[in-house]
Amino acid sequence: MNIRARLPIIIALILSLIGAHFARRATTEQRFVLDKSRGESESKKGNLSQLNSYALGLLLGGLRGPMLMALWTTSENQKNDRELEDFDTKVELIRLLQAEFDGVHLFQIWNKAYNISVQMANVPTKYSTILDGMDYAFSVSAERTDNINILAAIGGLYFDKFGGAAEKAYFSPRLMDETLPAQDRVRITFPLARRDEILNAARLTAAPSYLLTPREVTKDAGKLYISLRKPAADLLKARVNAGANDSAVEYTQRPAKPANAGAEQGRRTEHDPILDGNYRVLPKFLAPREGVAATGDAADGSELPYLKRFEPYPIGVSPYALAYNYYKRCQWLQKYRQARHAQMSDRVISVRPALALKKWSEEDWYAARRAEIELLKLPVPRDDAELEPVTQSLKLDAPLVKSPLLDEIIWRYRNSSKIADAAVAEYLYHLKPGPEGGDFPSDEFTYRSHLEGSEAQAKLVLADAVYLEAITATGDEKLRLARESAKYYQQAANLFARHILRFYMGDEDVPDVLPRDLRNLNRGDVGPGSNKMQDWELPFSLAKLRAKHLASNWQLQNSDDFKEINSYVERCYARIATIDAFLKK
Amino acid sequence: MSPAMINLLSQAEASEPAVQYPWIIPAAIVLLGVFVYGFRDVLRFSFGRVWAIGGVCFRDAIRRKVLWITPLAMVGVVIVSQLQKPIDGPDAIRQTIKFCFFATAIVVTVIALITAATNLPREIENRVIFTIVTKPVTRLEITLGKIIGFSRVSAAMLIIMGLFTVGYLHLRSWSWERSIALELESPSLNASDRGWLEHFHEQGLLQARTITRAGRLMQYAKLPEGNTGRWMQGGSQDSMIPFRVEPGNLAQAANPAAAAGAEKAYFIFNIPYEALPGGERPGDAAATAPEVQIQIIDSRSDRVLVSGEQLAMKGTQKPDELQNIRPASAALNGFARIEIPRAVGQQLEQAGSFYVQLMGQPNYLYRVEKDAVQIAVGNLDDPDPAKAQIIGGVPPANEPIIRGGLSNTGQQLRGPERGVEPVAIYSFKNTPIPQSINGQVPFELKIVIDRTDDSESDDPTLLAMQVKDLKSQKISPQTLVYPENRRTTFFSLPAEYLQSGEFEILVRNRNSGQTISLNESALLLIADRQPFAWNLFKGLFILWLFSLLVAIVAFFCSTFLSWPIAVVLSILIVLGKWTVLNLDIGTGIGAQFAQEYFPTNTAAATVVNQSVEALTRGLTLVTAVLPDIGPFGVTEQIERGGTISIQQVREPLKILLVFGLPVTALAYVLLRNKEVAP
Repeated sequence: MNIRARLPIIIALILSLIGAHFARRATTEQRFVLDKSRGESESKKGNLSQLNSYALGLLLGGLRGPMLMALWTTSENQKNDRELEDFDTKVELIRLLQAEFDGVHLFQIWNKAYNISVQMANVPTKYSTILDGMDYAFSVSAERTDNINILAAIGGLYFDKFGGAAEKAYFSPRLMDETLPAQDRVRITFPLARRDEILNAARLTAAPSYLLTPREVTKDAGKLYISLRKPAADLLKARVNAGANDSAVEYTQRPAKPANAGAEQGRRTEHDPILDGNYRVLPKFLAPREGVAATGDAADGSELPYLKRFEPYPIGVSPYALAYNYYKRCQWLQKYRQARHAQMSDRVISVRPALALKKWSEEDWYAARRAEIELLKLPVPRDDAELEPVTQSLKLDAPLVKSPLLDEIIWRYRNSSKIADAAVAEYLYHLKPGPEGGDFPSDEFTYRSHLEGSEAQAKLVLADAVYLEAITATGDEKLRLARESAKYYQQAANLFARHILRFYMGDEDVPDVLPRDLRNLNRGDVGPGSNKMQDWELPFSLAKLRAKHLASNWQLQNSDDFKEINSYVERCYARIATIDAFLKK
Repeated sequence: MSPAMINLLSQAEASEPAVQYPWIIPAAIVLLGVFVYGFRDVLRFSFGRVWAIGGVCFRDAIRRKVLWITPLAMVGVVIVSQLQKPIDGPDAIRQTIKFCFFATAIVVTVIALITAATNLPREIENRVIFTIVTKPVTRLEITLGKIIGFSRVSAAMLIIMGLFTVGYLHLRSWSWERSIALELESPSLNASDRGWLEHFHEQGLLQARTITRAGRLMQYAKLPEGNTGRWMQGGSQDSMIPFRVEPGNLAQAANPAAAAGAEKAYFIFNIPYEALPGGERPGDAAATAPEVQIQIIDSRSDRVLVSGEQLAMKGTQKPDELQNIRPASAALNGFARIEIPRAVGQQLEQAGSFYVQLMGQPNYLYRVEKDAVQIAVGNLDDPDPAKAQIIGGVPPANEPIIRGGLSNTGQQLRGPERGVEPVAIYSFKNTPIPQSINGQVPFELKIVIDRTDDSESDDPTLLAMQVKDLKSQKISPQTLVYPENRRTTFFSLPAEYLQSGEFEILVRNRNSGQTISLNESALLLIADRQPFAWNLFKGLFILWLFSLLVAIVAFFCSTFLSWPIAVVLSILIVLGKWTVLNLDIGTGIGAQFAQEYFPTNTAAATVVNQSVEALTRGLTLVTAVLPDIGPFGVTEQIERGGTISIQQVREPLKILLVFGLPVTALAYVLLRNKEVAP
């Protein structure tokens, strides 16, 4: 074939190449615009994942697709066969090769934190597997800054896995502990016979519960050990030894190491510290992105902008607090950058910060309740709903000795109250119509009960904190605190009573339960802030409703909810009665 | 496919003699090809000339810059290693070994294939061959010289890649060992991870260890006392009593044609039991003793030969008595029996050897000694045991086997429950005395853990290990081990209890909320260690043998084909058997096809069935003569730190002799008849 015959083909090829170049450029620009509209900022890092599909396809000689197919198939097969060698590497290669696809990242984050972690037998390994899922999410987030999908996934891991999983009794205290600054640890070895004594004493030092599951010493049968932070170990030593030289209990100090030292190449086993020595968020997490002025919210690109308002964190940062931070960033991106989540609706993104705050306040509430029961050396019920009655009869003149555990309990009650108030504000923001709020007034029906429940809880736990302070106080201060506590208990009882009558009473029970002259009122008329039903009428209505549940042998539709919330009310009444009796003395 | 072809393939069953004597045909080819047909060339054979031709071949390959591909492979390994995301140091080193070996194998094999397949056609094309064949060299010397040349090229590449592998792995392991040292400083490191990392901190990441497996794994409800006191826990363990019967042992005895009162065959049971604390049912008495379910298992195929229901079909006993045999209590000192129906007797005689499987009821322990089940021949129909007539019988062939409940990952070992702490026992017999380190002998353990309790519990899995010296009957103190699911755990036991070479490792699960699965290869004794570099050398040597095989096949193909076709045919020959073995094609696939695609059309189904079956047989026949490259695969063993035994080196050598040598002879014959120069 001569050159003249080939010429049209050559021209056509050149034109095709030029056309492909312009088409590609146009689509790239279009995607950039779309990314901006989704609120994504420019990437921070440059690596393989920053190469687009086109460049990667060229680099791999057109084998990117087959390679991904092989990676996906083999990694999923390995997961199903529970053979996880190489699995992380394969997932990492998928992440690098499919960096542009949020759906891939959401799947892999879920995959690691849920599907893989449950394959681990031991809880610490599950914990580090979830951290690995978290690391994956942070790697993507570093490349796709301000991506609402990834930020929501990070929030979801803190909220659902560390905060709400079946193993939360281990996960949450451990995560909180690891967010504190690194400190020397002390390994305490003791004979099996002294197990209860040592563990009770260690608990009084406010050592987190996850550290108080002793392990058997592998090379010395009949001995157990625990590891505590040095200040807690010093307190324990003082308490256990009581001046005597107790050689049966050994203390071996281990120096603090930088966070995740040694794990920089492999899977990490610990969460990074977030707090400084004053229990405030480390400046690096609040620093705005380069070239952006600090605004204190998601606009400045800092990592944890929404945690500052709740400082300090003397017992560590709750997973729900971290979830709140990331959900709040999502909410901001949705509202101000019009970012849209790929799988969740706008209203879900908008309300998540409020839900996180509510769960955080409840976490502190239940943790403080359990600690209070432990402080009194009573058996701790498993179910959160059974915690209230256990300590409600605690007397104001009970011989409570001041201890770090007591301080922690009081702090957690007060913090729970503070966070519950913040949750109420966050719910109100979500419901508020117009640009000043979340603009979801239609969610009123769904979230009003959350909101009012949090309002009541804020008063209850505040009353509990003041009550415990009153026990340890003396003289006039004791009396003042007792009266203040009674006031909060009364407010909590009224709010919970109205909450029950409004949300946990069947329509058919209304005529029998509400006062006679109010029977034609609707349910909203008994809620907080309504003056149509007086506070003094609440106990009577509540008693009538309780009688109906009793008569049905607790088989009514809302019986379980009634029983739980009514236990809060009964706690309030029991404590008020105790205070009254004390004051009369 | 024509019927004639189907018939031909149908008859062409895999040649049994060739399978039984794999060396006969290769030896015949070599004998006829070289020593008969090429007798004159053999007489003129000079190794000096062969080496010279090999040198020319080697220098030609170097001139073609084939070694330049090795730096590219090294760069590839480094890049891929940097992209890996290992869980920890051992995982990183394992993956790096895999990358290095993969790159080395690919580079060496491809170069061997290409150089060997293209050499002869290229020399014919550019007439270089004229200068060789016109010299006083024989075709035999040319053939061998070229193969030696290719093997020298492969060896050079393997040396380069091997040195890089050793260097790079040492660099990586040095870096990771520092990380592990730092990681071990972490006070919050959990016990399982600590044990795992401590092992690699002490032994290094580049390991080569020789392992020994236990001969047998048993499980008991309690630790037996010598040869007695074997207790089985109902509900979670079972017993297998082995029997071997001869024709006429059972079936004739149970012949219904015999006169009334003639001999019959019976299973006789003697299984004392204990109720667990709180396990007795209200009103329990000897009359309502716990039940035992029975079935008979084929000892070769592990399938159920005779179910409990089948045993109940014949005989005079009521079905409920037969299906749920009530064992005699120790207090009553009696026995339970079950008549073996004639058909079942015949079936058992046909099987020859079988197990009687016993499964108990939860909340009870059963003592299963060697006399727990026996076969008696006689007449036991009289209700009065005193009048029982036993004229013969068959005792169990061996000791009873007591096992934990079986899952697809092994025997399940439960934690302590209601005073019972089951124990798994790994028996080592005639074991060479292993190397001890500081008076301790290392073991490794890999198990599957299932949580049966509330998942909120954060109690770690804890195993108590002991060793029992079978000579002195002494038992070591407990060593505690914290394993993780499906991850190797290392631990040590005192060497003084292992010195006799006959010992048992006792494993107890200390966590009642968890079940662990054990199988024969879950617990391994680390009998010896070798330098990693030496192990790597053995691995590379096997790789070199593989490249030699590839070169021989490629050169053989190039003697009668153009080089592109020779390359394709070489790949087919080398990978053919491996591919077919991996496809797992067996008889019955034709019926599957027919059933799937022609479920209603019988005629079409028959044709498809026959055709596919014939093709399968044809494929099996072809693959029977192809080399099995399975024994050349040693990467996994090296990456897992296992030593390559001499036996493993011998296998590839054997394949090379049985397949490579005759193919070389054929290549020589073809080359001798090939017109390469005017």
